[in-house]
Amino acid sequence: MTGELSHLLPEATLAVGVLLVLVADMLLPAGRKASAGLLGVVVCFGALLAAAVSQRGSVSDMLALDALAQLARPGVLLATILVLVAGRAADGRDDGHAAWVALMLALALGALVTAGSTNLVSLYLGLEVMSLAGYALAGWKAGDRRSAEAGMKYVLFGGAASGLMLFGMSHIYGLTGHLDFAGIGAALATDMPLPVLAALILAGAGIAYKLAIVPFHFYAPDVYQGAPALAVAALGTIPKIAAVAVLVRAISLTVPDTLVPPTAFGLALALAAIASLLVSAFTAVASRDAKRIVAFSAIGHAGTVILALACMPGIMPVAAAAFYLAAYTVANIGALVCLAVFERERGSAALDALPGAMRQRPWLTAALCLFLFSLAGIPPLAGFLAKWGVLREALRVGLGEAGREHMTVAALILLASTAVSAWSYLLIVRAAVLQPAPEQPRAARLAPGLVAVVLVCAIASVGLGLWLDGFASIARALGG
Amino acid sequence: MIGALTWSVVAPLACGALCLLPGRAARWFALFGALVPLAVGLAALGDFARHPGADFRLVESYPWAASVGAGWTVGVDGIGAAMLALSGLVAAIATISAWNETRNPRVYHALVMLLLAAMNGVFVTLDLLVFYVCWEVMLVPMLALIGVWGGEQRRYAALKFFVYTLAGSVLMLAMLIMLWNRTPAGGRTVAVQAIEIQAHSHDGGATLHGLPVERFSDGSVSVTVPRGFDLRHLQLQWRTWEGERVLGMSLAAFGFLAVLLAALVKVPAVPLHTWLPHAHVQAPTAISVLLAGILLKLGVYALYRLAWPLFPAQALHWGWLIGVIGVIGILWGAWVALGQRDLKRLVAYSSVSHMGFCLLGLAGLTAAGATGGMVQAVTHGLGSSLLFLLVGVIYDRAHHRNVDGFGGLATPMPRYAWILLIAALAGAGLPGLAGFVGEAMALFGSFTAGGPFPWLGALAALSVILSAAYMLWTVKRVAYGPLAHPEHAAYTDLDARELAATVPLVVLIIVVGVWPAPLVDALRPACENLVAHVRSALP
Repeated sequence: MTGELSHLLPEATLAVGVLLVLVADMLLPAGRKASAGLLGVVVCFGALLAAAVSQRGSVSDMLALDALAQLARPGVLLATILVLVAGRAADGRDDGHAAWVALMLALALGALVTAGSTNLVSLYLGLEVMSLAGYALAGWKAGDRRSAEAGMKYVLFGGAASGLMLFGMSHIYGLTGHLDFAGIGAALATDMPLPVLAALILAGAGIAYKLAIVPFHFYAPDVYQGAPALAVAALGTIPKIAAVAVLVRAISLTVPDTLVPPTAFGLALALAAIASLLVSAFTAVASRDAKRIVAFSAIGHAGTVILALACMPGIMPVAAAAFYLAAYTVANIGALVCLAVFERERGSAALDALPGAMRQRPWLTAALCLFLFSLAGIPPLAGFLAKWGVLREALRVGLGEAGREHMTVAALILLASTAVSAWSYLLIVRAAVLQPAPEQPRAARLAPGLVAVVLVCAIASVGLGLWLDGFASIARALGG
Repeated sequence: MIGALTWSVVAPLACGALCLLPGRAARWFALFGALVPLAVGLAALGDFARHPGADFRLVESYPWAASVGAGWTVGVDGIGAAMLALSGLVAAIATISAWNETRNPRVYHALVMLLLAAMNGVFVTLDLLVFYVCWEVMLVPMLALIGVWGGEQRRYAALKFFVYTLAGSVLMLAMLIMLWNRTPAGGRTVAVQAIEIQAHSHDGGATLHGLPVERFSDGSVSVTVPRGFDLRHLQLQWRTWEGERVLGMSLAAFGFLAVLLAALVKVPAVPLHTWLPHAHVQAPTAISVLLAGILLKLGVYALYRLAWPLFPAQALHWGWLIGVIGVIGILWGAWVALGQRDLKRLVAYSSVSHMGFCLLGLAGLTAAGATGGMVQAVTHGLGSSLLFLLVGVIYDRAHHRNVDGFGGLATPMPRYAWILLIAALAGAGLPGLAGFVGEAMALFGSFTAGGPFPWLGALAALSVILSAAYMLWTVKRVAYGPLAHPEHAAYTDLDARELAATVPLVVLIIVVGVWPAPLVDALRPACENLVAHVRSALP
């Protein structure tokens, strides 16, 4: 039993860390409350260390520490560190920062549980921990009506999604008699009757909600626009890493290989991906708020990841999805951290508020453009290579396997949506760089932590883009 | 130690970074960054002129990603060398013309250097992935250069340029991935004709493009092509692409259309030209020069380097269509130019017209025509750069570009009027000036080609009348006659900087016009080889 529990060292570190941060908040003198952030970062690094040394195995058929989890864990923790280092509480207040840090750690804890779960119960548990932390983070600026609205929308849509998911899970249990993925998969090995398929898709609602793919995307624009930018940076990336990890495991364990490609399940994934891409591309261009554009385009990025998963079975689609998530995560966090600065200084991240940014903060604006170009998939940045990997998988399957020609069409739709969504990213670039503006007041120096995060994200966005061997390396890590 | 061609990309990049250093040295760094590729290109071009040959020279190869088969592989044939020299020259001229840029000169020159590095990357690379990356990287500096340093509607023009050209090239990305996907992981063995080995093997037939040659007892020869992006290797597999299916057409047809779309947007060919007048009118003078002088050539270059070599059977099949598109562009561009009042729009539409000759020359599949198309690309680079510079000169003085707002400028600005006259005559295709050579060769090629091409050539020849009309009419309205506005009498003639930018182009226009042999000799073997390759696809 102790051997099993040792696998949970990273999760335990985070759980203890949440408490530590809250206790520290009580003990710290009034002027020093901000050091809770430092404590949070230390806790995350501890968890990262624990994850690095932990062995593979499983815990009571609930959590699997397989190659997938070992890939997702550092991803989640590094993203959490980036967001924590990027700034104090979103509105710069000193008090309450500890709560922010504790919620971020709880979000990461939920993400780790989700990413490792092999069982519907642990999956639900992980998703709910993430959700509860997320609700509070989205509505962080209690005094701000938009932020409160964001929190409320996140709660309502999240509650509905988790209700659907529970409903689907209960059907799966009723129809197969199993809660663990492997058992469900064994029960489905022979055939997959329509009710089970429906139940699987319902159970997927919770994951789809975390990914914000169509048709569970409706909350995303309002929540992204209303919530503080740093909360968006966390909510837009960390839950997605976890959701993709568990989705990959669920698909590979429950949906038999023979059933994946041409059947309804693979098609459902492809359709969700296509719908997400189209909705994202054509709604983002109509937005007039930078965070809203990032939100709408995030729907498309999640759709792209799902498109990669629709190319399963095989290890390369998973590697493509993982690489895409990595590229998306660094660029997204980078962009939102930049927007957080502008939001704080200019009152909002609406396009109307951005002109003059280039004059006032040339380096930060240049970094923002770099992240946006990466998200738009302009080579040689990470977003391009990531898109390339997904396209490669989609076209491999679409051209190579009978009955899956729709993947070729999906790939072409991905390309078309790239061109459309480039326009929406350019709207931000136009507002921040090209639009004339009156003389700006001199900008204050940025916090070193924030500068470090922007720098790390920028280096990663360029570096990942040149790491052409990345797909093969990730595939090796997943296969080994 | 890296070789000359790599330097032609690295030097602009490094100089671009140096441009950002504080101080007023940015323009000197930029000039140096442009002179390096100019020197490399001229040296390579001279080598090809003295020792004609169709094969790539100055080849260097460094591995990048073994798992994918992409690498930094560079090399030039006559076409690449000419383009590299042109790009260095035009960038140097553009830098001189923007010598006194006052708005953020350091960033400006750094962006021009980034643009130059990307363009040179396209011209020298032999790797399809690097080609695509460089092709797209160009968009970013162009976006900033038009969007920040441009005219009234610069923001709209910049975004339109970006998204238009991005949309044009996304299918090329699909093509690139499909070609890679359809090569087996272990490589593909393809039969090669003995004559091909004779022509392109440099070690007595042991290897072809770096691949070991296998010979069989029945006399057949084959090589095993690894999975990757080397253009020379992909080209060997062209028969395979014909057999693969994608979306109801052959992979070759899809790939051909994808490159065609990307290239025709860049050229630009009617009806995909609508971004060009906007971009040109809004761009600052130096950027118009770069746009007309080099960027438009990239489309033609992509046809010569990708579409025709990789998909020869498609090129045979669709050649007539490219010819028709070329002729439509030639006539439409000339006709619309005739009605323009804005001088920049006029020159922009004349570009649409002149670039049509490149398409017509290539499409006819004769050695003369293909060579002429490439010569036209080079000479148009010289001529249109000069015209845009000259428009910029009077815009700097009058702050407008309306053709009706001038008249009699020859009196206060005699040197200007002379150079304008030479540029206009070159644009009109007067024999003895550079513009004549390419057009004449392209037309000559069309007349000797079969099918509809003699007719297309005859139609295209009509544009000579039109271009003479709009060019000379423009010169008359701007430079001759009585001085239209008394205040223009105070205009100074070209100063030293303006002469430094324009005189080299004038000299080259005359030299190439009188003595085109070195340029033609350097280009011809590569073009002949291309035509022979495409003709080998005849059933």
